[in-house]
Amino acid sequence: MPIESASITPVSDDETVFRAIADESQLFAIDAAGNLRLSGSAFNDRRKEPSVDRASMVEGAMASRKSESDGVVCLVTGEVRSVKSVVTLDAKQRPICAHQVDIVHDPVENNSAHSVVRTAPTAASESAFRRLKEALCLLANKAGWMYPPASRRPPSASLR
Amino acid sequence: MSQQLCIEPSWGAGRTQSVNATHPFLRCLGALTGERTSERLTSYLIQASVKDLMRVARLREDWDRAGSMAPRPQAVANASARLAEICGMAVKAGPWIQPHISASENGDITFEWWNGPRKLTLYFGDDGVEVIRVWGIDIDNDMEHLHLQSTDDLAPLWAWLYAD
Repeated sequence: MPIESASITPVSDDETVFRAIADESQLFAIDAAGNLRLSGSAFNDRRKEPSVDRASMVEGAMASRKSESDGVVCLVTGEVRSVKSVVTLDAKQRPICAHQVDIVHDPVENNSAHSVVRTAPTAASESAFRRLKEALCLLANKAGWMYPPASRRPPSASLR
Repeated sequence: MSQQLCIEPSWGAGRTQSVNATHPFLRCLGALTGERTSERLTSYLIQASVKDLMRVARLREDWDRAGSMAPRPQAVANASARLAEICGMAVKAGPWIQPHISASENGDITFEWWNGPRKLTLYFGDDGVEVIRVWGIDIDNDMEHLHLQSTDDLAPLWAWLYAD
């Protein structure tokens, strides 16, 4: 079903977005102090546009889960945009293109809150995208889980 | 004495714990029993990582529900072939810390290590290895992307990661 452009609205800097994280041990670790350490793989995306949901358009972090066992982390749009440029380098490490990082509303069927972390004017190179994923992990680690994955929930929470 | 390596050491081998191969006992053991023990020690130290790698190798397409490819067998073989070498390098420099093993959207294998604000990620493609070194959030100034020519190139990065 095509989404009308009228339903696409700008994402403001102070908006929080949620990212669902599958409950796979490959996507996160917990360090000795109990802090969340997201793997770069937590922001894997073959189109180099990781999906997020606008918090203001879903009913809480739990609503962003794709599966009951998913965990949810959050990002603040302004912080993601403050990453500013992702410079793509050539083989000799010379800058050839700078990308701006943005969060863009991209509603899809059954999810009007769907948005993407996107680089402009073009998709980031492999190297630039790998570094972008690291930056997204650092930002998401700060707040920790908005809703923990099933394997990290206390026994009572897993009965939901 | 070289037959005793199967005994669980009291200093632990938990999934996220380091195994300090510079322990005086292990240094003496290595000096007394030579290269063969060193190989056995490395083999012992990487047991958990080998299991993790095999677990990642069995992931299927869309394992992360982000549409990622299944890990490529060639990338798994590349990572597997270099694991002992990387462990050997780490043991010479200090502690061996088991990597967090995962896969990228393209089916590359990743090894990740964190130490405070510092992080190293190795990407194993079909042949080569690339490194992302991170010490802050600024993508252009606090991160570095390198192509690893040999495992020896990893030694200074390992020293950097675990420097005081």
